[in-house]
Amino acid sequence: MVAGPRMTMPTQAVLRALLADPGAELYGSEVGGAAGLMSGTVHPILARLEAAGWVASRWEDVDPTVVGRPARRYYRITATGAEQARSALARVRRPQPRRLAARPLPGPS
Amino acid sequence: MTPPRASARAAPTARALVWAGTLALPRGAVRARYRREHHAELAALCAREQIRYAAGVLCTAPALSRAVAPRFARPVGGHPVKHRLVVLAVALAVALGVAAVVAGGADDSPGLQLLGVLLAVGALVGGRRIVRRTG
Repeated sequence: MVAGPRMTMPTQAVLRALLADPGAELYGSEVGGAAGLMSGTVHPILARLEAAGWVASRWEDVDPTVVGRPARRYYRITATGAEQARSALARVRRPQPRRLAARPLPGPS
Repeated sequence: MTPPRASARAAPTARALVWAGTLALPRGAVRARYRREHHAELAALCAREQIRYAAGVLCTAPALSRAVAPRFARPVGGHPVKHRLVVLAVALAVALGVAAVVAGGADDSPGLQLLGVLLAVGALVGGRRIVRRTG
């Protein structure tokens, strides 16, 4: 079994941004903006998610001379990726059991 | 107040930072893909945001390199490609430092000269430590 990507806080933010509309295609800066991450820093996360098969990407099919800008690379979450991302996010969201026994009891005042 | 307009083309400084930030990627299709992708995203930003974006690309270059080519990232016994990249980065930083010293001298700006010296010395010391530690 292939292990999923590390669920760091930025990775979780990127996944939540992509899961907000699983059918939508976003380019890197849009993903960063939606995830609240600094511009230009999401590509390592997207590359890891793409390598894990959670995200797919494609070049925008436009004529740069017509639209007046270069073609962008768009990312979308795959069906498998959405399913695994949801369960991974649920796992990290689950609260840890509290160690009540380790806490000292208040003494008589 | 009107928002700053996107330039539809990346500024030379931002392009240079992206170029440097993608140097650590495997040569060929992977590097070309990410350069093209970053240039396309820069084109949607205003000049100030382009610099921020490109600085982000430069800062996350090692992480992207590990993400796209994990088998090249931590080789047993060090990696000559990594050493060449360190030498290249040090050379660039030293060149930038020397340029800052020269520009500071011409502009009568001792602060810029000091920054240039610190950059060059820091790059040499840091580069030597990295090469010795991983070699």
